[in-house]
Amino acid sequence: MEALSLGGLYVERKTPFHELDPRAKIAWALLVLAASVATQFDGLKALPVFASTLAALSLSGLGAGLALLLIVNASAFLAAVTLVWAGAYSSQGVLLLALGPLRLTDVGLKVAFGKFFLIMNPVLAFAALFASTRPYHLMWALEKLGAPPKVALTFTLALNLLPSTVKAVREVTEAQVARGLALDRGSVVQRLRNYVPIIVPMIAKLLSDVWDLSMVLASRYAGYARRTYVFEPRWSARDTVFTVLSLLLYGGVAAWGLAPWW
Amino acid sequence: MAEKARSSKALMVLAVVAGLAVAAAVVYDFWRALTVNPENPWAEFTLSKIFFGYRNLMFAVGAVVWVLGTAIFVLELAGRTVTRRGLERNRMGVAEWSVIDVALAALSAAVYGGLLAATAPIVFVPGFTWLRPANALAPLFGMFFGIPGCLGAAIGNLIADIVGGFFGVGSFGGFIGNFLIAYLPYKFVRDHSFSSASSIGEFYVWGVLAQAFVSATYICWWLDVAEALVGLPLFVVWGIIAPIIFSNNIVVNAVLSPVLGRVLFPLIKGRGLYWKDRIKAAQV
Repeated sequence: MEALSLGGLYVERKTPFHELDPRAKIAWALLVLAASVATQFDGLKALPVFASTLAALSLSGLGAGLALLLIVNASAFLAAVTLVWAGAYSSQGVLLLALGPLRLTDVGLKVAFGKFFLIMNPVLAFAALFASTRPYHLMWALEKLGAPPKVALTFTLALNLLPSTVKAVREVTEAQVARGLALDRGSVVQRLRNYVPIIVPMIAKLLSDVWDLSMVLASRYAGYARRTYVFEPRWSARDTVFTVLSLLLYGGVAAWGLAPWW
Repeated sequence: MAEKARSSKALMVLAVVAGLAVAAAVVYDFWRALTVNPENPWAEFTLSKIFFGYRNLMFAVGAVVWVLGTAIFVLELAGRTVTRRGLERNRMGVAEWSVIDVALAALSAAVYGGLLAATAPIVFVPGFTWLRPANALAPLFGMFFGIPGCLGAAIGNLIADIVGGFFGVGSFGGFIGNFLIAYLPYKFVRDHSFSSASSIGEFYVWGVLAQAFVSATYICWWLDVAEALVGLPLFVVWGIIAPIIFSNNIVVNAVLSPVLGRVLFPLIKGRGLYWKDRIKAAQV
């Protein structure tokens, strides 16, 4: 297992999206969420929001490949969502497909896609936000938005530690499986107890990392006084334009999604 | 005195038996519901009938739980706790956190979020519902690390929501709901060692039965109130999500948490990270 890593989700690039003020990007991600909520019953109306999150991923230099990977990973989820919501709306709209008990109507399909985008759009938006914002700036933005400094520090640290923690969980699981641990065998109780050899090493790692992280924080004087920032982002005309355009786009989409006559 | 100790021990054994019996009954009842009505087991599942059938009562109870839970969340983070003598300092408010508290909260969140994101759920009825083994950690973080552990569980769940694709208006309920899952055993279980009958018995009362009900009603009341934004029908909120949260938290915490707690407590105490020891050391 590797030592404590604070690499996080940030990807170093020089793109227009990276250069935006983090507050503008947080506002944008929340607007994506709001517009996805407003269009959750009509997947067609949610399409512009989806397209904009793909554009953001592309503008942040992450490319459409990541989006494609996320969408492929979510395809099973889309199938499940379609089955559930198509079933709930099987008596409304024009019948498109009948397979045994499954009756897929145009209304059911729109709702299913709306619900799918309700999940996918914020995931893509937050992926773009976290990948294009330095943790240092994310913490600064959270403090500016009113979060207590220690809570902002805790959230940012946890987010930065997440990729290495997920990697460590996978390594421990692979090691235990190689030693004969069968996670998918036995009764419910047995299968739950099979996770003890995975969780205990993870907590043991946590206990040793606590002291390392504490020393890193103490050496930087974190938590003792109000933190100051050497490199503070500056709100520029570009951020204002981006925020106004986002408001217009997502406000318009949300109004479209909520208007019953459209 | 001996009589009192015996009756106390009997009550604790009863709590353990009740916790395990409820967990077993939940699994059996869902299996029965699926056998009777394979197309819609929720219509037969007893927990769905209770939560959805008594929706008005659950809504009223949920409102009380929500107000109290949110007030406790704010108070504890502000450094105050409710006691029999009124409001007192808890010595673990965010403003009083040392770097160790920040590190504990961040690492608890990362491990909780990482385990939620990286471990496959255990399907206990194929295609319908599943258990998350990582949920067993939330009450233990509260009991072992105190308020930083409680906030770590809340942030870990929020991060798992963000990266896992479940972030939305409902995540606010999940954030404080997970704080309460960790908070109840932290506050009400007196002995956190899992090495005595009273310790295990109290854990089954607060860390298994009470937290499962509180988290289910807290989260589902919020989903019910925010129905227009979340877009989930009331049957889904009270008939499916509430029983899933309740079942998952009962089964996982009844089966896994005491085993993990028994193994982990000496490790955490030995490293000087148990919250009571740290508060005592700070006072000295």
